[in-house]
Amino acid sequence: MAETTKKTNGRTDALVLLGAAVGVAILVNALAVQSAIRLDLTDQQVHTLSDASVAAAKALEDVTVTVYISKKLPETLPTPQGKMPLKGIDRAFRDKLAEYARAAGGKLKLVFAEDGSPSVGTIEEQGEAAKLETFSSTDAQVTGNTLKFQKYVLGATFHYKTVSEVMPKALNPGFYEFEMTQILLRLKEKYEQSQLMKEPLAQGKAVFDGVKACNEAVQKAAKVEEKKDDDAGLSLKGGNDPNQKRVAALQAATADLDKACAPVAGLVAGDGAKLKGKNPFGDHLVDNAAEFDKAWQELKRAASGQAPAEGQLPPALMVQQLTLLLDQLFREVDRAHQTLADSPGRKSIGFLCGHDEFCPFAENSPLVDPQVAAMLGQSNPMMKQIVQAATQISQAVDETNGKIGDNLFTKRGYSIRRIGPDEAVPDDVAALIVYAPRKPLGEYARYQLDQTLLAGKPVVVLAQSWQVALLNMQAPEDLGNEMRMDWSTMLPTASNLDEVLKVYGVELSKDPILDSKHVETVRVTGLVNKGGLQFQTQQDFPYALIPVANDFDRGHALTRSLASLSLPYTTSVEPSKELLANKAFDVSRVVRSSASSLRKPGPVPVLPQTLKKLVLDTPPNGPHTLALAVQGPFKSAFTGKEIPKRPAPEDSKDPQKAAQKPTDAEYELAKRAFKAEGKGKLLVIASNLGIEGLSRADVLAGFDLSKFQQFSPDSIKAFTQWQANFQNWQIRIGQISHLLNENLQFLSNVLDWASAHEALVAIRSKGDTRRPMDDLEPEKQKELRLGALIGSPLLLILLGLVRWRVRLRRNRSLQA
Amino acid sequence: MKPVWILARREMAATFDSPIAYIAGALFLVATGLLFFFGLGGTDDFFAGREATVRPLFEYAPWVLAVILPAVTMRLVAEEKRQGTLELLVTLPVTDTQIVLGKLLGAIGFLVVALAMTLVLPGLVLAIGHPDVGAIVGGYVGLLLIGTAFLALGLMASTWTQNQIVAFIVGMMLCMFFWTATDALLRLFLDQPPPELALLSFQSQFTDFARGVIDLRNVLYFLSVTTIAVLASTYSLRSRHWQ
Repeated sequence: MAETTKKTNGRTDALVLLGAAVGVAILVNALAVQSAIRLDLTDQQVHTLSDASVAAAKALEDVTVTVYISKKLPETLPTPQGKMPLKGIDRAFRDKLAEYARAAGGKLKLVFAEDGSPSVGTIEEQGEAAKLETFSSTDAQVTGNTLKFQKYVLGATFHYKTVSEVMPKALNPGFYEFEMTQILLRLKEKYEQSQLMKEPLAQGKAVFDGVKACNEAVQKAAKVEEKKDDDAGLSLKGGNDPNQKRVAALQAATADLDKACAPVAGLVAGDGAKLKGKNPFGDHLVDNAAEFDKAWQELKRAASGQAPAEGQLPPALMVQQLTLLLDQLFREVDRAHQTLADSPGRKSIGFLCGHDEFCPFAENSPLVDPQVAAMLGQSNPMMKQIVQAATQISQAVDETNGKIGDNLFTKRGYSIRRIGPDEAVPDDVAALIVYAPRKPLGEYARYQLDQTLLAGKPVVVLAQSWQVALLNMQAPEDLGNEMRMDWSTMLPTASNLDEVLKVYGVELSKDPILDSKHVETVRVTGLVNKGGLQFQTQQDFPYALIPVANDFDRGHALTRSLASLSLPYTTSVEPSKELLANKAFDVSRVVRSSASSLRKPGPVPVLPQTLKKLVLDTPPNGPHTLALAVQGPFKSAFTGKEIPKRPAPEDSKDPQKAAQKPTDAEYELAKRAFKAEGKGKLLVIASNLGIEGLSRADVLAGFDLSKFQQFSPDSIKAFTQWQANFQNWQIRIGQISHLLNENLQFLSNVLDWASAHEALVAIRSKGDTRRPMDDLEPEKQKELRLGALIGSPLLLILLGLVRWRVRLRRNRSLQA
Repeated sequence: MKPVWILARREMAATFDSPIAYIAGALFLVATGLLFFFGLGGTDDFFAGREATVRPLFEYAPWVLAVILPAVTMRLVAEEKRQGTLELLVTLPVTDTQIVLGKLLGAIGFLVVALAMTLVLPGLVLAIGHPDVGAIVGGYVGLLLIGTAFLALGLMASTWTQNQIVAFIVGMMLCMFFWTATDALLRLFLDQPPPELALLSFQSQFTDFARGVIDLRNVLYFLSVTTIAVLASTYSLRSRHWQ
């Protein structure tokens, strides 16, 4: 009996103790959830807040962060590059925000959005209302007859006093710190500057509110339920025609609409007129509001039942289209207002344009004056078609440039300004970028660069000395033949940057830099014939013309945390002996190529295999400097010279530009403002980072209306060549698209460095950085793979055999 | 602690005296190497990715450890029970806890050797690029902790039976459960599992190590699982008094 009791007690004790241990473990783990003790072993302390981030968090009093995280995020997200893993991303996001909250010492409060009542909506709906970007995975739900993809949200809004900033989509944990610190720094600047801009901001808001009220009233009144099983007979009578019903609804609501929309004209003429000219974003807002008012007046007329003028649509259709137009214009006004509200404290970066460089702006003027195009069309219908096609290409170029500017810069929080070859650099431009011009800079542009540098504003010059075309398209000589895709060439550009920079002690070489070992790949698309069918294939080739640099000046903010950088079609840049000898200058070889690199006069063969052979056969002479930063007291290149006069605007079709003719008074003023010396910051990168300019002049090379007065086969040939030019730009970008993301990050660092946000530069580089491996021959790869696969197991088995032999011998000796 | 060290040394020597350590070790290295170079199903060629990273090792090694380590632990107690040497062992002046800890430490010795043999892979990556060394160190600390937890679970399974095969299968199922199944099970029973529960999965806890971060929460979690498994093994061993 006693034995049984002892057994039972023992079992019970064990169970109780085990249960207690599990309980303690749960408690300890639950308490540890709040802990922040961790060791970041990564090279750049990628997962630990840097001092700059801690300072940014502490600098603001009472910041509220509203966090939007969908209850159940998908495990992966489909992207063009494959599936992006999202597992644990919500935890990483919460952790990072909590780290900021701790660093702020109670000055930053986190509020988590939760599913609320129908009036508040789901987290996703709340996020959308707060201007967060929702995203979808492959999870879909069938609702009624429609298939809806599940929407998710992961982001936050940061509020400080009267200003706020949005982190719209937090899908890259590597950049959380960069984005959050950027937002905190921005909030501070934005609030301080908004105090100085109170009046224009209030005027902008008044105009926006007026337009918003009008649009809401119109859209509400015009909302007509469309009956799906519409009876044809009734429709013919007009009883159920949604357009007719819309007209009737608008007529019924005339008084309300008048009340809501009448103030718009007054606001445009009052607050709008006061705002105009004070701020470029304000101008955009007022212009769009004026357009909105015009559309409203037309809608009012159409809805009143007035007979349409000749050539106009029937009133019911007009009403439908104008209602849609009003909504579109409201969105434009909303966007413009948002940009205006975001503008305080935002520094502008000027991009020099007009020399066939990377210029991320759409051109203001049309390629051909519509009246001229119409006249040409009357005289020759074939000409009309060619001009139309050229216009379409030109529009596509403009659209692409506009999108590039929007996505690469505006959406990333930069304010960029186009500086034409005939324009002076405005005072509010904080830095000037000369991005890989392929045509020589004129005297006036050189003068602008010179004076901007001497004024102490950072000047960044990226060079493109060669135009490399690898398996590009070429228009056939004979019109009957198809377009060929084997055009491979390397041609020098007409850039005169070497000459421009020499004056400042910077020697830009035109010899391409090649590498035999540390290189990135080029992605070549080709056609393969299989069983009589043609298939498109893509293949990556290690490419000696895209050296990978790992040798950086770690003391420079730009490269402090950089792991590697791929520089397509780069040349080299070195400081002159005089510059090095001058102690007043701070010269930094920011990026250098590897010792296995090679500087060789161009052109070189561009086909990967031929190029590789050449590189392997030539002894290396690296390293070479690929990016150089110089800071110090520069002297003007125009001392003792006549200051160049501003040229008359080339673009006389643009009325705004035509009005900006240079005047003598302006020239006198420029002469007085001339600086002969000044402390400046110059950064020269001997590559375009793979971002090649797309310009109308380059794509439509040889477009001259006078040549097309009469139809000839040459016009068709020219048209085919323009098409090829545009497609070749796309091909070239596609060939190095896999390394563009990294290079864009570097470019963003350059812009932050230029706009004096050096703290952000080092933080951004902490993001997940690609670390390319050296180029290895397939045989070498096989050897390494085999060695690693067989070596260790073989070693382990050998050790086992040795141990077995030793034991055997010992046993034998013991037995003996 | 001295008896624990003596037992651990004896256990480690016994492990390396038996061919199973070499077979399991070689299998672990070959499987990890193949997965590292070719990915699952041969789809991810390491050299084609052209990135100097050891990430694939940390992605796949836990899977292989979840299968290999129960093969090492299966004999630890089950074999002693079957041969009757356990009775001899318990007559020595050592407690049950010391026996379990000694056996676990001995098995950890095997784990350390096996992991050390994989260092050839980071060595190769270092020779052909500039990987983040900190992330590699973090990943190895994670592998050591997750491996220790797997060993403790395997040891626990070994105390439950006299049959090594049964111990291996149960041990492997436990390891796989903690490595992969917790997430899936939670999602099966709960429409929206709370994030705190999702942390039960070894995979969630291992992610930070693979990124190069040693977080106290993750360390505590693996140590908790190991401690509970050690306690359960001790009570299981002690249960001979109650039967």
